[in-house]
Amino acid sequence: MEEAATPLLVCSDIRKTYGDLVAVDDVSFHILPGETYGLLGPNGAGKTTTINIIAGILDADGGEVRVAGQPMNPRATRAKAAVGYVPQDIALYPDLTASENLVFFGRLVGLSGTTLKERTREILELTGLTSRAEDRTATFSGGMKRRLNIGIGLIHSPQLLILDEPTVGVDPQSRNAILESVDAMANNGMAVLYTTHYMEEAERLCDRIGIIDDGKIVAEGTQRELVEKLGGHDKLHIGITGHGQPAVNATAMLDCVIRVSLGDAAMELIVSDARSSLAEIVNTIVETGAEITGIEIEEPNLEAVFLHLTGKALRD
Amino acid sequence: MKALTIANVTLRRMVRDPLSLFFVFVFPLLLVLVIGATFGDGFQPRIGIVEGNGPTAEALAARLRALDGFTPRTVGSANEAADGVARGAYEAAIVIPNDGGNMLAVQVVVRQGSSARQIRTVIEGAVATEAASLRAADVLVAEGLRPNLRTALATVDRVEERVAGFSVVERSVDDSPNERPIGAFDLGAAQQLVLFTFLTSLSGGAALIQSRQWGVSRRMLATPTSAATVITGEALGRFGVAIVQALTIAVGSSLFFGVYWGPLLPAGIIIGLFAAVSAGASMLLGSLVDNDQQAGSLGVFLGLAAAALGGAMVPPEIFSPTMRNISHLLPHAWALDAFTEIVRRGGGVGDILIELGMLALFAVVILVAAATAFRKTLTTS
Repeated sequence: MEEAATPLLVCSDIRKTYGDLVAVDDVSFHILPGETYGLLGPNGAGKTTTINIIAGILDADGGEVRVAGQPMNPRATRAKAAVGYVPQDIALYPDLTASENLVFFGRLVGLSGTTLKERTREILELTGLTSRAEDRTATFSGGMKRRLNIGIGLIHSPQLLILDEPTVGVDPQSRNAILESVDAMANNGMAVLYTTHYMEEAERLCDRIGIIDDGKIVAEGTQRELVEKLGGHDKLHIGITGHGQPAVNATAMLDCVIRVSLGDAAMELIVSDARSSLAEIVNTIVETGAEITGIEIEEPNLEAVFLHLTGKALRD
Repeated sequence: MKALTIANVTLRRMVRDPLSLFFVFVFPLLLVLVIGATFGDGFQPRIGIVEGNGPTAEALAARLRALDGFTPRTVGSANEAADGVARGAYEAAIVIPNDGGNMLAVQVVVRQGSSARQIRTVIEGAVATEAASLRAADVLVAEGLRPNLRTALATVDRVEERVAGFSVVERSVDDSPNERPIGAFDLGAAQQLVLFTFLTSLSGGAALIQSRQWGVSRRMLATPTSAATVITGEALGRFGVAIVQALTIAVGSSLFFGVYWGPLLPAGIIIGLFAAVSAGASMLLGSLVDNDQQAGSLGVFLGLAAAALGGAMVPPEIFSPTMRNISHLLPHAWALDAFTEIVRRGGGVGDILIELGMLALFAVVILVAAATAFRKTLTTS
């Protein structure tokens, strides 16, 4: 990913209100080709409304969305042709077969003839549904429906793929397959806008993350940037035997230690960088005569950042 | 083209649903079958014939059995014939007494009711005709001009073919001189058509709700497809369902029971406009109601109520003047008026311009309201 690349998606101060409710409040961000951007926020934060505006389903009341240089709105057919949209709920005809669903949406995105036939075959293969191509989707498992739901979004090889919570209700095996597919698509140059309730998915997939709350982007950056921006500290749990108080007093004097407390047969230290200061801390404890029984490092994560910014857990 | 793709899916989904298949193709044709078998052109009254002894009685029985338009059954006795008519085994019975005297008093046994009166009239006419021939033959034998009744009857038949006769044609005072004689089911079929076309379409409104509930309608908007195209496609799909339903009844009843639908062009325009009205009503219901099961039940209720008020469940002729006026608030009454004009009086497009205009007005108003309501469901979060 090159910084100089032209963003594929640019959202500038987009705004949407419903009466007095401001659902999206001057949201701005961009996504580069090949980049996976995670949009995280608690329920009701404005994620889906933002996505619906970006996908051209809803008109924004203010601001601008551009996809591949084209302005996006419900009438913008050229911009929509560059977007693959995978909604949160499985949006398929259950009384049509997998291939009929793909052909239907393929036609709506402008494919026809041998191109449509070939893409349908490729998507069925990609989603592992070739053997069930002629079965009605009502007979599919939840995971199979999810895979087909994503496949429909990919039928026209879009430049920007919008995935709104694509792994909800999916078994671990299918979930892993979906995440690997998303990773592979981003590596092939596709820009991905990804929302999820699962923090580990965001941590694993997303190059950059925007945290949205009450319709506003409250923080944005890489995972590391977000943690650093919020002054995140590591936590060390060190199990000890014998008297712990001398060890507490000694470690409290170290520059790298911000705070230390003694619990039941264990010390808890808040440090700026656990990995670089671990040796010094261990030596100090050993010198006081205490015996170390175990060490556990807890680095600040996205969950903590999210909680700090929104005051809510991600699944609230 | 995208609108046709969306419409095609609507039709495909309809034929995938066994319940829809039954109500669109099987149920209306079953009704056509039942009504057609009872009142259609193929109906032949079953007539029990009690045959008396003697050459004249036997000859009359033989000639009655050979008449067109009846299905004769030989019955043993007058009592048996009366029981058979009472039980409904025969629509009527003819009891021919034994020869004797100069008067053969033929008895016709029927039930009460207008159809029985009609059958009795027809039978009495047939008996009178055959009896006249037999009397003429008897005269020939009695005068010694022919040796026996059989050869005398053959002579009478030959003479009858050469001599100009008389016939009586009945016409009701309500009928126009230009009216085409119609089968009993011809106008009933038109009522079936408007009833089922509207009813099936309204019930199909549930499919639109399902598309919304499944998120498919919104997903279409995320493709390079405008809201207008999605709305047009959904409307075309519903129009297709209505047309399939209407043509199933029209073609099926025409093929199986010889129902006459009038000249092709005006009949086609009536069907097309009424299908457009039905499609609009289906889309309106599918846009205003959020629950597909509620929409299904509501669709059936509204479909039957509209059919009853619009004159598609009972003959509009029995409506009071006030009810007739009320019925014309519904498109059914206008469609039925148009069918009556082209089927009974052989009218063309020019004769039903007012009816067609009203149907077109209904179609435009309902389709515009439906499109507006559907667009709102698509574009609000």
